[in-house]
Amino acid sequence: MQVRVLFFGEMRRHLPRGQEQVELALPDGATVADVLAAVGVKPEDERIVGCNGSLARDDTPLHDGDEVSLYHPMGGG
Amino acid sequence: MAYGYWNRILRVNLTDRTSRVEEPDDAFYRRYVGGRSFIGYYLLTESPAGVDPWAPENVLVFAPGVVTAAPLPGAGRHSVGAKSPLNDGFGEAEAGGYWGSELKKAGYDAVVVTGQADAPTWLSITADGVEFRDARSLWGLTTGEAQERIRAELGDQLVRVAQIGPAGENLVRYACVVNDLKDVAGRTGMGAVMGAKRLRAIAVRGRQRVPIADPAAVQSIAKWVSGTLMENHRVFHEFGTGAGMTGKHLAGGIPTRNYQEGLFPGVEKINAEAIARTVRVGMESCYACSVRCKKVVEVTDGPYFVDRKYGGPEYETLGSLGTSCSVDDLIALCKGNELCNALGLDTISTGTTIAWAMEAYERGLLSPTEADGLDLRFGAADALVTLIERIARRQGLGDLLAEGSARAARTLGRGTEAFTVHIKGLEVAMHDPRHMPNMLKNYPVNPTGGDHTGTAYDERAYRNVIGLCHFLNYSQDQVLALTRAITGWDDFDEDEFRAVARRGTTLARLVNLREGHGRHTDVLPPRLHEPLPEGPLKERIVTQEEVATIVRDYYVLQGWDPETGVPTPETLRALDLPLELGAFATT
Repeated sequence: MQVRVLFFGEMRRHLPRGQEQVELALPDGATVADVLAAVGVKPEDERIVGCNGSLARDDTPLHDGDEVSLYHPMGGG
Repeated sequence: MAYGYWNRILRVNLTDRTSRVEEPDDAFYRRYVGGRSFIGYYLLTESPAGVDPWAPENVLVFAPGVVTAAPLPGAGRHSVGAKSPLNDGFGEAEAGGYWGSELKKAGYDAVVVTGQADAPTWLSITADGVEFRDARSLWGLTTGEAQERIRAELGDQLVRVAQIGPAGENLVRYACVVNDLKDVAGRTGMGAVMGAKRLRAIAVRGRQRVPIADPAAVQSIAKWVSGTLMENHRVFHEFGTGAGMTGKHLAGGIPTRNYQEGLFPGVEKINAEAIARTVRVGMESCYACSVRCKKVVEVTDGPYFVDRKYGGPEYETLGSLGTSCSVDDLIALCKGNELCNALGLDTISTGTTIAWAMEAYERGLLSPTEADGLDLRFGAADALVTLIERIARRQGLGDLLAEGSARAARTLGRGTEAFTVHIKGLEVAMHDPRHMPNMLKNYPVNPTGGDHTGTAYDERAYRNVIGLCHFLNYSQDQVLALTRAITGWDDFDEDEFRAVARRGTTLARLVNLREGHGRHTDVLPPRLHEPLPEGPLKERIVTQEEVATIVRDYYVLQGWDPETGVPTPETLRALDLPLELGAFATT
C-alpha cells in the first residue's frame, strides 16, 4: 500500500530542509508504528500522530491512500 | 580574573537620584550566579516582609546570568524580578533579545533599583555610569514613540531600551517590560512595578566584551548549533513558536474558550505555518543566536495595520488572544500582539483575563452595560482589540480587567471566581496540564504560578538562573561544558548544576513563603480539574490527589518539609545559603 506521511513543526527534523512529506510503500497490515520506524521516530520520542485527520495510536492499522500526520506537542512559548 | 561576569552590580536609588557600583566577590557569583537567584537574594535581604509592590521599598532587579553575552546561541536572556502586584509573591519575568547582553557589555552584571522617583524618569546606562533623565515628555507614549525619542536624545540608534508603556504607567497589574519593542519580560507585572517607581525606561549602551575563560570551547558549541540547525532546531528556525498548534488540537488539548475545551477548529488559520504563508515578512534573532526564531509580521491594509517594528505573535499570544478567546482572525491577533507590545501588556494575562470576561458575559454574569456595550462573546475579534487598548488605559471595563482575572472576579463576584484560570494569581500559560504531563508537574509548584518558562525542576530551572534560553536543545553535557567554558569553573559538575538550580527555586520559595504563599497556593484552579467535554482527552480528569502527590513529591525532591514545603535548615546548609534567609519561615 502507499501511505503519505506529512511532517509538521518539530517533526520536520526527520526530513531534509524544504521537504514536508514523504510517500511510503508499506506491506499490507502495516500500522502507524511501522511508519514511525520507517521515518526514524523512536518509540521514546514525543509525538502526536494523526491519520486522515483523526488522532491515531501506534497500533492504528493503515490502508492504501491513508495520510499520516506527525506533530510535536510543544511548539514553544 | 573573573570570567563571565565583572564583579559589578549597579545600584540605582530613584528617590535620591543616586547610583553606585557594588562589587560582590567571586564567592557571591559562584553561589548566586544570576537570574532568579539574584532576584531572590535581593528581595530577601533588602525588602521587608509584606512589602507593598507599589512602594519605594520594593526592590526591582534586572538580572542577566553569567552566560549572558557569551558569543553563544541562547546566551541572550535576562530576568526581571520584584515583589509582584499580580501574584503578591515572587515576581519574575524573562526576556531574550539584546538588552541583557548589552548591560553585560556595559560592564554590569545586574541592575538593582530601589526607591521611587518624584517625577517620570528614565535612565541612560553606559560604562561611565548612570544618567537620570526627565521622562515627562515620554509619559503616555507608546513604546515605539518613546524609543524613537530616547534614541534621538542620546544621538544613538544602537542603544537598547527596556521600557514600560502606558499600561505600566497606569499600574495595570500585568504590565510588562518591553525591550527593543518586541522582546518582552512579560509575566507577573514587572512593568507595573517600574510604573509605580515612575521609571519609564532604561537605555543601555555597552562596548566591552565579557571575558570568556575558554573562547574556543564556546565557539565549538556555537558552531554545533549553526552547523546542525536542521537536525536540532528546525522548527524554531523555520517557523518560530506556534508550529505545534495543530498537533495540540488533534490531541484535544489546545486551550479553548477559557480552558473550557481542547478543540479549536480554526487552528490552521492562526498557527505559525499560516503566519509564514501570509503576514510574515522576516525572522529575527536574539544576541548571538543562529536559531533566529523571532517572527516579524506586517499588515499594510485595513481594517488593522500592523507595524513590523513590534515583531510578531509567539505561540502563547496565538493561544491566549486566539484559541482561548476563540478568535481565529489572524490579522486581529497580529494587531492584538502589536498593541500589547506598544502599550506594554503581557499577552498571556491579557488574553486569559479577557477570556474570563467573555465567559462571564456569555453566562450572563457580566451585563452588556458592564461590558461597555461591546459584544463580548467568545470569538469577538474586534472587541478583543478594543479591550486591549482599554485595559492599558484603564478605561471602562478595562479598569476592572486591569486588575487581573483573580481580582476582577473577586470584585465582580456572581460566581465568576469559579472559572478564573490562574495559579497564585498568575494567569496560566497556554499548555493544558490535562494534556501535558510536564506542565501538570510544573504549574502547581512553579515559583511565579501559572508560568511555562519559569520552571520548578532542575533541568529547566538551571536556565532560569544562568540566563540560557530554553529553546536551545543542548544536552546535559553541553550545558555543563558551556558553563565551564564561559566561567572557567573547571570543577563545575552535575552536583553543582543541581545546587545552582535549587538555590534559585529555594530562594524563590522563601520569598513566596514570606509573602504568604505556601501549600495552600500550590494548587490548580478548579477549571483545570474539570473534564474536557469533547475529544481524545475527554476521559482525562486531573484529580486533587494527583496534584497533591506531585506537590508532595516535589517538596521531598527539593529537601523541603513534605507537608508545608518550607525549606529545612539542613537544605539551606546543603545549598550553602545563609540560614537567616529562611529565619522568618513559618509552618
